[in-house]
Amino acid sequence: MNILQVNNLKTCFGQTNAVDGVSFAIEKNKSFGLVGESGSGKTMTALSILKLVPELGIIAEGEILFNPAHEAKGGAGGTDLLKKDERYLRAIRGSKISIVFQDPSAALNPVFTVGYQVVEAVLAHQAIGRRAAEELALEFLKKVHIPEPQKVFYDYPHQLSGGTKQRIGIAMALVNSPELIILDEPTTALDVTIQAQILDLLDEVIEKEKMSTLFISHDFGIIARMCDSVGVMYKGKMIERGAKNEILKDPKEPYTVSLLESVKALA
Amino acid sequence: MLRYLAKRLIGLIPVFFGITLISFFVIHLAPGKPTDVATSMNPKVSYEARERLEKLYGLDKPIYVQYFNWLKRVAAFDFGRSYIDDRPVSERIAERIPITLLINISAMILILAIGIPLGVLSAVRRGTFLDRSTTVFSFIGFSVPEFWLALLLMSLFSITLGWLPISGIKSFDFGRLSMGGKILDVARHLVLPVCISAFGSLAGISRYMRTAMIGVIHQDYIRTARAKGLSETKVIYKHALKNALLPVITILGLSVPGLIGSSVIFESIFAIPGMGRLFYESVMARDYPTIMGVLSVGALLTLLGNLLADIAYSYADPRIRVTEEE
Amino acid sequence: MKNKITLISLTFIVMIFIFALFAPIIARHDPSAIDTDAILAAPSQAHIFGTDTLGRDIFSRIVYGSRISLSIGFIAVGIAVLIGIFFGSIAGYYGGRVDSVLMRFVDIMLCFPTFFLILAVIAMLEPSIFNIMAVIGITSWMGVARLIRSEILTLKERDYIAAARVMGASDVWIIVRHLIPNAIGPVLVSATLGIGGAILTESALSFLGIGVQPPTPSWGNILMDGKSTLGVAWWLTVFPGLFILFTVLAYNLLSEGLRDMLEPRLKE
Repeated sequence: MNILQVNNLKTCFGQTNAVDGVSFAIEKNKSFGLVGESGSGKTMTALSILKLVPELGIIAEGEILFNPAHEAKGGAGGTDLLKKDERYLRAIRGSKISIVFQDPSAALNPVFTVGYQVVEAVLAHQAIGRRAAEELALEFLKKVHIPEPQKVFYDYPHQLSGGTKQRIGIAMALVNSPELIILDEPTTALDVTIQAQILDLLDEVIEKEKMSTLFISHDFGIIARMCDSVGVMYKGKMIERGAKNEILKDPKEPYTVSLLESVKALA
Repeated sequence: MLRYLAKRLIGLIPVFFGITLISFFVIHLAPGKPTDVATSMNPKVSYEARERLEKLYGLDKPIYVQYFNWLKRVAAFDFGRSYIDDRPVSERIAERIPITLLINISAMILILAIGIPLGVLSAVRRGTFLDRSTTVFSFIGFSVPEFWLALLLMSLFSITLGWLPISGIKSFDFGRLSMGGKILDVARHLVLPVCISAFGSLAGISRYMRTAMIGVIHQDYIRTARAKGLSETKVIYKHALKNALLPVITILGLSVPGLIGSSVIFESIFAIPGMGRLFYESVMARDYPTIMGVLSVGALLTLLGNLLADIAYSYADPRIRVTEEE
Repeated sequence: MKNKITLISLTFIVMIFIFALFAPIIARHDPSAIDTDAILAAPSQAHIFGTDTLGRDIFSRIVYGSRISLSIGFIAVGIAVLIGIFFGSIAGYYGGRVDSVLMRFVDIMLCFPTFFLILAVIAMLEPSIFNIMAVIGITSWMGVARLIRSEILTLKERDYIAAARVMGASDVWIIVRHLIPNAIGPVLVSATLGIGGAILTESALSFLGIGVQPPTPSWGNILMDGKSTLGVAWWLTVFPGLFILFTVLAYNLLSEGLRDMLEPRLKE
């Protein structure tokens, strides 16, 4: 059972195809990794799923079939997100499909407290009162192991460390119990020591909340650790795709080989 | 935040000294002694009176002593007496300031009320007719001579259409009007001056607001806000606007000297008894004490305006209001 | 589209220059010629922009006035740019105490409402054309100083500066030959804007009677009689004002065009 199926996605900026005919599927409760260097189109693919592509970009072709639990039609494939209007997508963003961005310092609004930003995410989708939303937000701050959550709730982003800010980003993404979470290089902007902590946290949270995951990274080591299936991207195209172990044992493309070799642990 | 403000206040002290220094320097630019005009032009002034005047202004003392005395007097707001009517300059200024302040503050409110929404809308609907026409309007706003605009509008609204009074701040029968009538009367007299005063700065602010908004809209945290599923209205008017307004506060502070300066022009055209007109009259009459007084007060008002803008900014930006954790 | 606008602005400015240079040929009448028979005459074949309160031909006065406005604009801005480059480059290059003191000076100057300062100084001296240029220049150098300073602050860390120092170049040489030419871009944009501003300031001063003194025509002092003749002779007010408006607009648009050329923006 696939929770998300991308068929032949094409996203272009002017003349360039940032995403050039990409197809892959994410199975329910499993994790799919998109690996490739910067500029390969990984982030654009993720943004296309939620139609958050920046101003000059156009999603030219393709299907993005979303098949959440309550709409399971047993084989019919699901709803094509690319054909839906803004209102439908807004209902999905942050509630059924969430995304955690790469740079936590830039991803949080500097003039609002972090607690407020998490509460906002709740109130956008759940019709509970403000007080209940704040309690829920606080609960999730605890779930992502933020020290002194009551205090941090009222802090502004500039007062917090990178690791804490990313935990906030994760809490914000989880707070409405999404079925699919997209993680766009969640550890790349963090210190190495913090990276491991965040990955552990993600392991725990994905397991506990029973989510499907789309994990994006340029680091094959991280992908190998976190994902069940892998898709290798190069210049907008997905050049190789399959189960993690297959790709690790028997990479078919020379580019894949070179990516693997750059990760010493797997060489 | 308090620490930041304290630092700024301390930084203002040298500026205050600088202002007094430059004002003092300007007095002494005139060839001859500052008291020459008052005395030599007026045949009624006797030799003793001239000597008395020179002693009063300490012109017989060395220059640095003169500056020090000037400083002491400025600190006490004593700018001497006007050559025209021998009243204390500070008194003449004090009676004129309220009107000028009224006009400038009203102009500021107008600028904010129109300039900011215009800038935001231009940014949000970039490239549309609204944006383009606002840009055209801004450029014309920068380029139009204010006094010319004043003349044209006066010609249209006061002379041709007769909707608004031509000059002054009160009508002839002001005394007989009710309280509400009085307020309305003054308001009608001030409509044109306020609008013209606001016009040039409006163009600037809306353009600046537009640039600030466009810069903010491309930030990552706006993408996050959309990714959370927030409505576009919330994204633009809450998340983006709050950030974009910060630099605009600073710019507002910087536009204060411009507003005060241009008050000379339209207070003269509309015969409004404000500080600007006082300045113009004293310049024409070479009434040096008043000239110096208004110059110093103008600079001080600017300083005050900047300080207020600073306070507003440090309050609005959490990065300054709340200090970093160790 | 932007380039078209820049081109149109440039063309207009050139036209005004031609007016200034060839004034005697273009103007039909002597700008000071008083004609008591034709006081406040409406625009006609003889006087295409009408006449003023002394019967002088307004078109000729505007044409000759372009000389004044343009030269004041240029020289005032020239003075401002020179002073600004001087202070700004010293502040930017030497940094530290020198920088703080100079920037403090800039802050102080910026506290004075410019127009007040100009009026005050002109009141002290007399309103000769040279004084006007000098005063406008002396009160508007601050922006240029800041621009140059920030450019130099960025540029002075570059490698070619270090290389020049190693080769024994003196500070002055480095500043003048290496830093300033590279920092000049934004200054050019600001200067073009400044010419427009100087023209506006001069016309305001002349309008108030403290600028260019009649009979020398300046676009501002032609408008001096505008207030009293508003209902009667619209041409006295409209034409000179339009010239000021379009010339300043042209300079402003030109400066935008220059900015686009000199600072390649990221595609938004």
